[in-house]
Amino acid sequence: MSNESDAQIKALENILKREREARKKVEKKLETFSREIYESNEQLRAQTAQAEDKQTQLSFLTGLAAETWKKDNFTEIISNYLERCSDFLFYPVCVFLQLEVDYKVNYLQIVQSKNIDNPTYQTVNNKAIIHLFSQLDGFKLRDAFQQSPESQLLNLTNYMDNTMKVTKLPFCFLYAVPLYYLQQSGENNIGLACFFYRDDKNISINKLQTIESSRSTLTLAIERKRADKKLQRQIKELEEINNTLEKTQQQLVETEKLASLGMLSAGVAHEINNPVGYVKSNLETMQEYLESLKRVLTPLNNQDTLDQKALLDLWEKEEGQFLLNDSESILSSSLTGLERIKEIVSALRAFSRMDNHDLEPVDINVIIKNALKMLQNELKYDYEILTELRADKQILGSEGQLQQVLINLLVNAKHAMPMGGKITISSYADKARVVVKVKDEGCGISPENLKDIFNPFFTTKPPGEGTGLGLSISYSILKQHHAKVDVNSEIDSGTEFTMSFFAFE
Amino acid sequence: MKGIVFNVLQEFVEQNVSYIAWDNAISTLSLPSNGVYISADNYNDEELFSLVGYFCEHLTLEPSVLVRQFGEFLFASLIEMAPAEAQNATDLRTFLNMVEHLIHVEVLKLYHDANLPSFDYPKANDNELIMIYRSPRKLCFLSEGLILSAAKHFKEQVKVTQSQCMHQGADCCQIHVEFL
Ligand code: HEM
Repeated sequence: MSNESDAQIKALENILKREREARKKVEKKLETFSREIYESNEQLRAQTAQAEDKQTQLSFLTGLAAETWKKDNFTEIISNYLERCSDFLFYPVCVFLQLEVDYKVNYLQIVQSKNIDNPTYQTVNNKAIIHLFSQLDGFKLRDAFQQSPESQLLNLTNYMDNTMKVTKLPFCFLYAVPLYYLQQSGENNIGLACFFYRDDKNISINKLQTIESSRSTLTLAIERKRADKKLQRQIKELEEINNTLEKTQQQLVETEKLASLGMLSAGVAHEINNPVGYVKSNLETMQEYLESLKRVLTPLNNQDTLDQKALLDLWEKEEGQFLLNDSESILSSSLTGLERIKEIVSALRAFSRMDNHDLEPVDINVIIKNALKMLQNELKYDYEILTELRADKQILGSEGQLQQVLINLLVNAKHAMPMGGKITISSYADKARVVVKVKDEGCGISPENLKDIFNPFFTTKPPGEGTGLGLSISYSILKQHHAKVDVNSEIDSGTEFTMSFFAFE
Repeated sequence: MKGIVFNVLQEFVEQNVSYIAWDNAISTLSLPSNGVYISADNYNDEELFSLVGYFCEHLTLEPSVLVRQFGEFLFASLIEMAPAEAQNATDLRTFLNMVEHLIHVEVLKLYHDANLPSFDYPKANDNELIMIYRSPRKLCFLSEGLILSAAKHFKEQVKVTQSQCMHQGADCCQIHVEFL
């Protein structure tokens, strides 16, 4: 009995021992488990942090890119970049500077965090920063970026000017991001965005790498802005050139007008001289007639000695009746002469009026008539002028300029028929348009010349005889009048110019 | 074989034979595990077969009888680990169908290194279910015992036979469950 219970106890002891051992194993297993769980938890946390990091980096990059392209100018791009980076890097002091070819440090833009609550916030007054820059060794800095054109994390003490006895620095590290290399006389001006750190506590290499990744976007945007600016400058230059050109053309119009005025002046002088001559001789004759009439009529002054017979004899002798009749026709011919002079002078005045090119309602028929008056002397002998002026609507135009065009066309028509001939001028209204045609029966223009006739300085006349500007100026005047111009020409049978204006209603 | 099977076997021997018998078996057999079993760990199948062989010899029992009885004993422990859907199955047939498709699948989730048999369910008539058992461990009698206990659990009467058995040289065992 006791033996049996001893064996029983022994067995139970053994079983208990194994049980304990098993428990220890289980406990150890549990420990391993919980360590594994802890580790995988840690791993998860790290992965989450990494993912979050990636997320902020990504949103930094995309946000920066979107904003950068929206900015209007270089300064705004840089300020925005510095502010964004300041937030992203947890508020280092951010500065933009240009490292000049002569190793000077120039053009500063400083952004300090506005987030004063942040524990990592670093304040350094701007004066201190500018002072710091005056002590930077531009040569060494340039050298660093000539060696490698990418962003660099620099130990600030190595880049201070040794000759300057630099006292304690407010920063230890400088992350410098080259945003552009601007060529100037073979060397580069380097645009550097600088992020200053007091110590290495807040430096995250990951984030600095993100900053480096954003560099290309910035570089591209800055280049684009520069190109834009250059383009704008070029556009402005072009506009100025265009202005000068317009002015020059205006001057050419006047010059050409003066030239035709010169050409016309002999004829016009003659036109005026002629009536002046005969009005003068008329007046001289009138003076003689008046002497004769005086002699006849003086006795009438003395009533007492009035002798009717003698009076009548004197009347007969001096041909009184003839004097009266002839005086009448002399005066009316003089009036006609003066009227002609007046007409020519007013036509001339309209033509020579230089300043007034405002478009106003004008009667094209009147302008045609005035032009013909100016050319009367040129055309009166061998040329037959046919006019069919039926336009019954006004057009918007400058009288002087249109007259210049018509004189130019008529002179060309005359030159096309050196031996004389017929020139037809017609005008008529066609729906909303007023059409004017000038047609000659001269030598015509060859098709290959036809395409050039409106070009400046194109002329078929021998050197010294035509400016080659007449038609091109006429053309530009007509363009300003929004007129359509057509030329029909056939060699040896003649040329017809058709101008079609908008009617003024 | 998972430690849990050895733990339950120990309980089975302790309750049906004695502590001494179990301690003697462990002390005599000098197994690699020294008889220290943790339910979730894997142990060499040979340890189980050695233990079974030892008890058959000492109790003069056929291995098939011992293993079947152990299966009947084991079920109570296993059913507690089973997913609720299996525990609440409407009847035995439904439950037995779940062994391959749900219960052992869940076991693998818990112990990914578990060594489980495979069961096929060929078509059979209304009052019979055939389970084709395949396993290198040839524990078809364990299945029989488990099925018998399961029947008690669902309060059903069954007769379990094998029409062919790996122990008779077949490549798989055909277990017939006849619903009485
Ligand atoms: C009547 C129903 C069941 C049958 C016929 C059955 C059959 C078996 C058999 C024969 C084995 C031994 C291994 C082999 O033969 O290769 C086994 C192992 C096992 N079964 Fe089942 N089983 C049943 C129900 C259950 C239940 C309800 C659970 C609970 C979750 C379960 C969990 C296990 C576990 C954990 C193992 C051990 C696996 C290993 O050792 O690696 N079984 N089962």
